[in-house]
Amino acid sequence: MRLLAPCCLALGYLDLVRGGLTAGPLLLVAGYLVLVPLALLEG
Amino acid sequence: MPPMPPASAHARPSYGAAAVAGAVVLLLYTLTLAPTTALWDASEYITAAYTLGIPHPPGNPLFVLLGRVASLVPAGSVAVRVNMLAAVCSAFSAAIWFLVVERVLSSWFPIRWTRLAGASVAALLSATAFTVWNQSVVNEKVYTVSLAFFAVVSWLTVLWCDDPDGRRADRLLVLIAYLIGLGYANHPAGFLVGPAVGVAVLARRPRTVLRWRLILAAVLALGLGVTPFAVEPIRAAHHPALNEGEPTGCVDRIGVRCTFSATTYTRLMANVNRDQYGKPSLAQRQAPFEAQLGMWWLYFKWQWLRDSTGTQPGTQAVLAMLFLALGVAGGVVHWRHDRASFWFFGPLIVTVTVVLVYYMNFKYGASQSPELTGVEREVRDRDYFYLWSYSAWSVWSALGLVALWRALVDRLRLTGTRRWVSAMPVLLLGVVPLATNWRDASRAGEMAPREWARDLLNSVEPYGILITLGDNDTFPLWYAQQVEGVRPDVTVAVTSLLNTDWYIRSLARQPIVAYDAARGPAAYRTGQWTMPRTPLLSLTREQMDAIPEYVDLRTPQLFQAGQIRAVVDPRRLEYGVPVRSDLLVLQMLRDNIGVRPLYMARTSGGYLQALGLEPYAVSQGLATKIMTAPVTASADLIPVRGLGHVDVPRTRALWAEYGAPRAIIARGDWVDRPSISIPYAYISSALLLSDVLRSTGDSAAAARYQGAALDMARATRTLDLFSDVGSPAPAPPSPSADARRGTPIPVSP
Repeated sequence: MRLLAPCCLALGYLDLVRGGLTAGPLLLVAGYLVLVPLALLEG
Repeated sequence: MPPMPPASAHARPSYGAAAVAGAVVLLLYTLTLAPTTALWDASEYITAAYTLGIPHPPGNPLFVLLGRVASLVPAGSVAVRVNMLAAVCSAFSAAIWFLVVERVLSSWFPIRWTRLAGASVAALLSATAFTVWNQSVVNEKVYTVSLAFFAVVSWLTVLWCDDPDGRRADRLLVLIAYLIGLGYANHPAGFLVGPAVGVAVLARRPRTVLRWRLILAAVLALGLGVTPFAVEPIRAAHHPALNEGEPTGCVDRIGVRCTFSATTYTRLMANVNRDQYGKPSLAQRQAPFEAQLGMWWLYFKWQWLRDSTGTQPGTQAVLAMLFLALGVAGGVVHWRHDRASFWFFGPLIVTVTVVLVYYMNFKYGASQSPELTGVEREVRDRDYFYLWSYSAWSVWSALGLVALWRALVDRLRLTGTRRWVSAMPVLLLGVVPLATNWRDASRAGEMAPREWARDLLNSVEPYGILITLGDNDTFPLWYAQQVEGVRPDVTVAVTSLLNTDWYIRSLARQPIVAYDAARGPAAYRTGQWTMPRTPLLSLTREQMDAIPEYVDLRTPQLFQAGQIRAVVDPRRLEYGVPVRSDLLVLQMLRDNIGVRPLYMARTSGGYLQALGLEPYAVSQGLATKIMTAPVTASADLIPVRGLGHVDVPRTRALWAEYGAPRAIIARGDWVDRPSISIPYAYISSALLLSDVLRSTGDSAAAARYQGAALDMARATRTLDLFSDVGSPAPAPPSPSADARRGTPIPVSP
């Protein structure tokens, strides 16, 4: 999870930079609201 | 301090039952959900979500991401999907409050079903308090998302308080810090929960603040939480249709150097800090503090019986006193039976009530103390800023109610379950707001805002420029154009934003979209409409940026463009001198003669006269067209004092296709008085048409329009504005602009 969360956020931002309107928001929402909290709980 | 019970003293949380409570609340919200967009900020936020754009400062990047994802759900219209986001967030919050109350009762109510009953009352009360309910059935603001963050942080803090030395305690605190930061990326109110967390930590385990590694980790997590703000400069550099504040230094396309530039930083920080609004310091009170508390109390009364017609003030006051007393009692029993969570929840209530009232520093409320004249007022009722306060207070009110239940149980001479059941009817008090608020909180069937947007856009000929003045004659149009694809050929220019530097750049970037005659009104199907080839303005970017905030001219000035010779009277302008928006409107008029017709929305009040354009004005439905030469009367163009001329055939043709009059009459109500200029535009237009037709001898048609006007006036409770139907239309109400956004650049000539 500690690896997956930053990867998800990075891919989300990359998609936003290239002008994406679908994958980017989905990845960022999943990253910020699910994966990062899980990673923080894992410690 | 009395010893706190160990974690084992609390029964395992009923997550399944909480989920069921949340689902029931969601069902209620779905039944009363707005079927489309709404007035005020709803259209702006739906448009921002759909286009992944940037709404007004601070830009709410987390909301925009969430809204965009919601808009991708393949069910219902885009507006319904984003409205459902608000509903889901509030239902989730109700489920969390269920858990909090169940926990408070766990050491006090020995029987599980009684705890679940008490928790259900909390879920119901918190969901049906007027402002919570009304804001959960349309995505007018981002506050329901904030509420969900408040709730989840509350629950995590409660869990931490249970076992502050446990294996996961530190991780919980770091997660809480992260969620507070993330909540800030939704709205700055996200930080409001921070002080309560701090008090809870100090009360439960004060040594925690001396553990610098943990504090550092929490600070870093909070910093990670606010990183969604990085979305703003990235999206701004792609120049989406909605790009408020334009927080980027990139002019044409995104790039590394322009993104990591001083310009981007300056503009982003201006957005985050909401510089555009220029709010006074807290020391400079905009109304006496007691009046500001009075505003909170006024809206508190609404929570248990909205009574929008003002016909039940006595019942409303009684209910407010009852729920105030229940809340106080709830706070007391919370203190007695679950000290650990009280140290969080008590400070939270103080923060979102007294502290928030002081911090928001509002003027008098729009409907507060109407007998007071000469005081400055907020442009609309801002009960939504206290949504968190009323939601949290509902939790304490529910606790007070179950305490009453318990007191009755203890007095009954029955045994076992029977005594709990016998006293249970007292819990029905928790159903009161559900019954009393349904009519006013529900947005079901509210179609008028969407129809208004379509009607106003269709009042403008192909490729026209429409000048609007505020939120409610602008945001629904953005929604219609960007989300529903209605009349994207029309350029909407709102004067309140023309005073900023970024908006005109954004307008100048807008692509010219071909007019789709098949989707337009029948009135334009026979005409020849040439697509403009020239830009909206002849100015370069540098010239646009160089336009001054205002010009210190106080005497009438002659404006000439083609055959137009208008006398602009600064004394009739909003600021007493021509400001940037006035200069830009005149520039647009000059640059588009014979290219794009320029219109003013019927909601623009006396702006037309202030610019001296009345001799060139022709009213066509809900908008007024500025002709390129003085208008002369004819059989079709009837002169009307104060309005120029009325184009009778065009107006009648447009009226035949307008959707809002039917929607207004069918709904039988209007959302609030401050936005009354919208139905007023229809009613006054219908009355005008009626008068003109009567003067030409067509009394049957005149009677039809007058009937429609009266039906709308009755439905919107505005008959008082039209008490003498048949006489010239009264002065229109003020444009429905949110003053805090409408005056972004203060002018002090």
